[in-house]
Amino acid sequence: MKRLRLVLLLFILIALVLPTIPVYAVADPDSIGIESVRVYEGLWEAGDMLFVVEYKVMYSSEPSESAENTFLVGVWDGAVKGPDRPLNFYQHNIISIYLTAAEVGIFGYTYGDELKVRVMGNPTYFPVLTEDVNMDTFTLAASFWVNEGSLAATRTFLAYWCVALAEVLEISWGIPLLTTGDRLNTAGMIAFQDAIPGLDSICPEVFQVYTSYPDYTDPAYTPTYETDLLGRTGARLTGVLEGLGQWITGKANMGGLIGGVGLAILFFVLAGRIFIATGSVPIAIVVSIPFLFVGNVIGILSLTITFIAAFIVVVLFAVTFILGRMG
Amino acid sequence: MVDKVTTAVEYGKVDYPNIDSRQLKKFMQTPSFSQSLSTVERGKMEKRIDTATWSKDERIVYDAVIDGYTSLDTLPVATGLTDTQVRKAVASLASRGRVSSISVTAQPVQM
Repeated sequence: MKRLRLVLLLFILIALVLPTIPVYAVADPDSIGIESVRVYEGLWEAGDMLFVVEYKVMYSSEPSESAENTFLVGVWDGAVKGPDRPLNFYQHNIISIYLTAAEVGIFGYTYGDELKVRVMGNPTYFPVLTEDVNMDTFTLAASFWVNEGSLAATRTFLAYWCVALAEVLEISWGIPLLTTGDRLNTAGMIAFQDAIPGLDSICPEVFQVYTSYPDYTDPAYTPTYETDLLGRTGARLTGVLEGLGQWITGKANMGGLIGGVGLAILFFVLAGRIFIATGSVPIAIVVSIPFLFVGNVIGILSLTITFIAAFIVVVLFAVTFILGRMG
Repeated sequence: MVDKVTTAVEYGKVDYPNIDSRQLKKFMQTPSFSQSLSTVERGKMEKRIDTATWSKDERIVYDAVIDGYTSLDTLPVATGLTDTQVRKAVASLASRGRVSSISVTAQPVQM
């Protein structure tokens, strides 16, 4: 008898010491099911995967707890549980699970796998999970996988599927989700961005308004003649200019700059001499310009600089000579 | 005498049953969506949001009370529910502050 009391006391003590595990309860849905699944491979990067799931977790009286707490969608490889995500909403809706290429590698999934997609109650709220009661499983067949060979082509197929799902949902909900041009309207945009975060970045064409960037490509040109001319500087002249550059600036590879500055000094000396002889600035400059070509020919002046100088002279000439006479 | 069959079917009708009320609420919070609705549509959506967690019996009884059946004697006849179901629903609605259990007067749905 004494022993029995001791055991009883021990039980009571253990019960008091043990931490209490909260058990929540939510009624089973009226019905549960997965309507469709599509898996897209290669949307943001090659090898990533996006599982798009259309489901029904139907309640005539919705639980006061949000679906984010009570239900989740997950991927199973046989009996091995993969990634999961809480459901956003009850009733008829869509949701997605995204895996980067690295995550796909970690889970070991390959294109066409017979994976299982499951919508199920959160075990915290549903201690017993029963198929078709508070859980539904959808086994992927090869035809549910989409990879069109390039990111752009696969994205196009996702865009088509989003429009198809929007058509299904707008009939089911009784709320328009598409515009007349089959673009997502405000409600459609909210619903699809909730379900597929980042959809606007890969399928902007399904939205009514989206940002875009002007298509601009830097023009590529090969200045072969200029390079050819710059290569004409002889070894002796290069040596002289490099030595002079090293002596003046204290730095290596300054031969080009020294050559350019030297040529500019000679140009202004020549222009000055012509100005003294003629008394005209435009004539002095125009006559001196060909001197720059000498610099091009011997390879100490870039052809680009000569053309820029010539352009400036032409503009100055137009301003001073032509406009001056128009007044 | 009220036709039990007709009213029992009509009362408790849920508009927009296939969309989560929380999602509908999210839509309604977007001005471009809510401004595109007619008064009737907006009213139905607000009712859907407001009564999403109610039981079917509560909806039926509430609609019947709104319709003028304010006596506990006539409610079972109007709704087709049993006396117990009606009393239970009334008690529940009263606890939500939607009906007064003494006079059984419907309170307007908060819009």
